Amino acid sequence: MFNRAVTAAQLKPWLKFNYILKNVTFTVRSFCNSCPRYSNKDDEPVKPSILVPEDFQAELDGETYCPPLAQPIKPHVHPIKKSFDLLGITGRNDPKTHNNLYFPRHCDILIIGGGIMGCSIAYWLKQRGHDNGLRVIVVEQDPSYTRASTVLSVGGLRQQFSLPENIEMSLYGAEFLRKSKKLLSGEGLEGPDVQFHPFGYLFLATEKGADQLIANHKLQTSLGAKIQLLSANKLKQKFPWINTDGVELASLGLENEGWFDPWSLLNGFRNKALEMGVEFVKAETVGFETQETIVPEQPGIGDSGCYHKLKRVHVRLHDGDIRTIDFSKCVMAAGAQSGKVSKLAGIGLGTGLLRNALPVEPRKRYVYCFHAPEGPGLDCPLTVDTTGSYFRREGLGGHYVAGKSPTANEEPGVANLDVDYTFFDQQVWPDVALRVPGFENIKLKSAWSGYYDYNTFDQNGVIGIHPYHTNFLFATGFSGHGLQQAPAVGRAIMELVLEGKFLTIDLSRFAFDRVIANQPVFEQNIV
Amino acid sequence: MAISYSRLTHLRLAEKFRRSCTSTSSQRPVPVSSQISKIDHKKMMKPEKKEDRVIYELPKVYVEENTTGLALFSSNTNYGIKVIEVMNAIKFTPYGLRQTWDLFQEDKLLRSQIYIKERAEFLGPELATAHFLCFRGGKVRFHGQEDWITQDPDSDMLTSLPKFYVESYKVEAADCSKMTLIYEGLENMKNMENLKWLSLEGCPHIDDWCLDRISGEYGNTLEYLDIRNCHRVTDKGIASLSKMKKLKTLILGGHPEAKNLELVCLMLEDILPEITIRGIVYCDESLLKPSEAKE
Repeated sequence: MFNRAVTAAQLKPWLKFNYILKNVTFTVRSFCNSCPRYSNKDDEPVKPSILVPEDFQAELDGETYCPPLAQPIKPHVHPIKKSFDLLGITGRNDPKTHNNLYFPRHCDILIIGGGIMGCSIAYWLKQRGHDNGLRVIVVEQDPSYTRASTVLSVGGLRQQFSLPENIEMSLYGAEFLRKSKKLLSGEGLEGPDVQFHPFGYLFLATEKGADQLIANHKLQTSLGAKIQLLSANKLKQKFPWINTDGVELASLGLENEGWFDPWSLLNGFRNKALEMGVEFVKAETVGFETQETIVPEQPGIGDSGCYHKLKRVHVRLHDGDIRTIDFSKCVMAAGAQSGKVSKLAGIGLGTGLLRNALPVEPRKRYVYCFHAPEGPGLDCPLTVDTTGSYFRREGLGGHYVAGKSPTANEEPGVANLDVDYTFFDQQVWPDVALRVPGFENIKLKSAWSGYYDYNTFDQNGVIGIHPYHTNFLFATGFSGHGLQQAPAVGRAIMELVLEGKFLTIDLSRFAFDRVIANQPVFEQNIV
Repeated sequence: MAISYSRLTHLRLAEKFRRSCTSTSSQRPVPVSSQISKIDHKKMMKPEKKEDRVIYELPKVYVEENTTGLALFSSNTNYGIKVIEVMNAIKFTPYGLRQTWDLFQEDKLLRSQIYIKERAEFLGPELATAHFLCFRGGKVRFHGQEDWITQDPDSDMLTSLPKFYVESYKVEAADCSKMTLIYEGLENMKNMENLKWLSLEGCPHIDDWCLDRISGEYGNTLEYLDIRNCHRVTDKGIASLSKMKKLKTLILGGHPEAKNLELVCLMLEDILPEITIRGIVYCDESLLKPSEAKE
């Protein structure tokens, strides 16, 4: 008779399967043993056409083991509702209904993290077709965003990258910011004023880095960005306040570059998402539950097997209660804490495809604000020095904002957001004072620090689906340039979820696969 | 569905044959660009081919190849969400209807002002800009001529502009006052080498992003700029005019959203060497006069 659950497709072994069977649960029972089996056990092994490094092949051949993640817990039912059920009164208080009035218990797409990435993804998912029936829940630990990277960011927007995907994402970010007032407005909701300061970015390069700068410039202009290369003399003519010692070449962004207010963009996304029906839950993710899903045998493709599919997330509310939310797909947009939360899903704790953890960890960066009466004045782009220090003008009163990425052995601890002022005196101020003689006479006014969601692997974003947990998507690890790419990343995740592939910008190079295959995609920094 | 094995094999082979035929078809001839256009302004370079970039993908475990006749009817796109989009496209509430109407109007405006590459390639950038502006109600003056070229309000044709590329026509002044120019429309006005005079007075859609585009494009040549009554311009846009080093005259006025305008203008006067800003009152002159009581 039949050795599998009866569905129409199963009875036609000549049809190759065009849909994903992984999200369907079958109970497979074998009635007889003498049916022909269409397995490929005796065939020759198929060699993949893409070159696979040997250690990676061993990973693929080995079994992927997902460790047990979290114990199932019974959903919380309010005691009054429980007594109603005992009395036999059902309906609104029925625990078996979805849409629990007191806490949402199921959703279609769960977004972990309510920063700029999470809110952008929520907006893009819901704005496709207005009431498209998708139930989206954003789990955010701290709705006042006291430690979020988004609001502590300097807010730069630039197209001067060396990877075409990064450039295209920033170009779209600029276009979205321009239209943000209209797109993020609704009935009774005014769109955000992102306060874009169109002053450009200026990258300085020594002799060693000039070739890289020229190559980057060629790529940037070919993709539509407006960047101008300046020699040292032209630079001095254009910006008389700069000291061009050691500078061989500079590249200045002429259009769509500058800085803006991240807080208003975040609020814009969040308010529009709320208006469209996204639910924001104030809770902390503490665990995931999996369910053994059986993938039935497909003739000509492979034997049946089972894998652990992520089904439910456990979140802890502020009063310590643990609640569960069932989801169909989960998006990791938790920013600096993404590595820690991904471990709860088993990514990094298993074997095979789950052996590699998400390489995103928090790194603290300082930003200092000082007053310089003899500073550059109005025409001051966000200048990135050859040493890595950067500075920009803040407001019209002669204030400037500066910072620097520390070297690997000077990395500050991430336990708290305290500021180290000696770093300014020893590292940042000498560099900017050398570059701008007007910065020798300054008064430090204030400083703050924030976390980068630092991708220790190659400092570029991880955007895509996990190869084992096929309902788990990443949108994190941008290492300091995530804010400007948030609209494009939101759109990319929306395309992945709703269409299954990237339609506008092809971000397949930024998938999690590169971490497993150990193929980093580096941004070529200017020296 | 009962289908014989031999018929199925026949379908599969037919599909393979059909695919192999289409892949070896000859390429379409590349259109020859006009030989008249001599200026090689920024042509979009082809992005690097996919083979050069190392794209690492995990080998697919489940192969999804369609080799049956039914594959002709299948598609890779997800039509489910498209159906919902179309169904929910217009919301029949007063706000929704107004939104849909506004969207139509914006789309119409965008399509009327989009950058047409063929026009610029055929006419050269200067004449293309002239045609673009005059057709939409603007005025243009060429270098060496004294008359403003404008469209006759009665007719649809522009008789005073050449219809082919003529090298000696260089746009020196463009008067776009009260036109409905948008950000995408300003892309038509690029690559003009000698633009010295620009008036955007009364254009309602000009905002900071448009000023950013103008100062990036004409930072080296513009000497006169008039942005009176552009309601969306803020002080950040006016501050970005500090990139224009040759600006001699700037005319402001009627910017309700520009705060700290006087401070920005003072700072502009510090930076730009030859600037005169008209339309700004730094202080109330009457306060400087001695008061009546003292006399």
